[in-house]
Amino acid sequence: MENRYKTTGKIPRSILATLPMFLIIFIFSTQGNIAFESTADALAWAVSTAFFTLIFFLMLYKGKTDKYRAIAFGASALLFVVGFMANLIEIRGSINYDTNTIYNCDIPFCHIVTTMVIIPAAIKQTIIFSGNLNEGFASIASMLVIVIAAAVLMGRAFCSWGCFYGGWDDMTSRIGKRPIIKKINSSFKYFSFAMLILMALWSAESLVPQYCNWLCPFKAVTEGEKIVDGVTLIKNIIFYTMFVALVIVLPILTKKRIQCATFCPMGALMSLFNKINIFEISLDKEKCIKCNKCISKCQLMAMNKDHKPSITCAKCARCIDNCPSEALNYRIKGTSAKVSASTARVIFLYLAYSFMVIFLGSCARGGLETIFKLIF
Amino acid sequence: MKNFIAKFWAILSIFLLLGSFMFGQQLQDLLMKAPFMHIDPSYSGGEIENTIESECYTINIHKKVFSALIGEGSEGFRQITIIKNDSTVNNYNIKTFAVDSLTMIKIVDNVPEVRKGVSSFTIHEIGISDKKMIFRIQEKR
Repeated sequence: MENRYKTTGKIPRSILATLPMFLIIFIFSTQGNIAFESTADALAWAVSTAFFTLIFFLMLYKGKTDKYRAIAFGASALLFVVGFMANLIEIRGSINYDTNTIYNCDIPFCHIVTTMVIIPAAIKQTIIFSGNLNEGFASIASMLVIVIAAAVLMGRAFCSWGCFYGGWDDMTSRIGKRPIIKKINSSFKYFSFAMLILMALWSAESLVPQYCNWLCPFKAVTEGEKIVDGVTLIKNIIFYTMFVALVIVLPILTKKRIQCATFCPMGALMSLFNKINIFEISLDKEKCIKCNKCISKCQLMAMNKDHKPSITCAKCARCIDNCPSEALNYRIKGTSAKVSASTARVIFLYLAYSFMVIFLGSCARGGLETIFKLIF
Repeated sequence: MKNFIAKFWAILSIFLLLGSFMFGQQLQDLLMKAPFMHIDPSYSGGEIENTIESECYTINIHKKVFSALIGEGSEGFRQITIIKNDSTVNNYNIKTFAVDSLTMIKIVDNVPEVRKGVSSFTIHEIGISDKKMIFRIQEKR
């Protein structure tokens, strides 16, 4: 049987196609200056560059996208947490924020906050967040530029290729062979849209980003609020409970990315951008044998009953990799069958993986550097 | 033709993405010109109305903030920022200073006491570091 993709099983072709990605990784990780602050920094650069290059090569050579994407995505999510915490400790001496941090507008801006600042930005012309506008670590302007670029160019693919939180439940949902909770109503995925509307309105009314204030599970692994009274204690209990339930336990039991699929308002916002995104996953109805594997394997519950991806598809390619009849493929919208699945896949991979290696790659490198500093 | 445009846009997306990282600072500077790129006064503390200078401290008295989504709220605050000019000073201790015609503040060992007319109260949420002390006084319209 002929290989599905032009690079599959062909080493020279895969190496050749990996070269541009290696250059992207090299240029963005060195910023054109091969000078390192320490041995740990040099080692972290070498390991992360080799790792991300190898993963891209394997995607092309083996012809499997999701399997290798998940490795890079999960590793980046774990290393991001390590690097982020180390950075906070270096800057402010603690991973917790308190009144001093809030009054000094020193809180790093996270992409999820975008969903809550839109309405006040439009009506009141101000950003309701206690962060730095254009200076320092994770400034508001820098994150907004990244979010806008990701939304327009990738749509919800951001949630499977670029979000430094997404790797967590992507990893945990792969633990174990079979789901313990087998039947989940896929309509739950629309709850994230309810969350988006609720959080946007509640935050606008109160001028406080309420998802971050009360509900974000990832506060448990990034920066939590310092416990100073009953309210901050309750908040921390909620953050940790949410993390354990939505990011660890439920994904293991269901083998679905429950936090990302049903709860994250950012996922819902990015889904809306799928409509204007040039890439999609398309179904060849003639090839489809209606085995429902795509529906059962999709971690975001994004596959409709007619085996076509819904608006919430994050283009992770798990359905493509698991389709026994090769009926699902990446496709550039507006192109006919003449533009092969292989071409569409390679162009999409260059786009999505570039985002991953530049945005998450720097996080991974930071985490590795921290680990190497601890070891040596 | 449709095929060509779609493929061109898809390839262009890669370069646009790389460009948005490469020229990130320029794009940030451009974004900063957007009318909404201001931190809400409920976080920044608002504009400084008055400054009191002394040998040990610089006291910035901010304007009252009554932030609301539309118009102004009935309840708000006034932020006071105290910056240490003398790094050898340990605790914040300041004799009474006037914020406005009605409000006086005294700070004893890092604890600000606010007197408004005849009633006095202590501020609970204080942002304090070696260089700066920030607190907010509740205000009503």
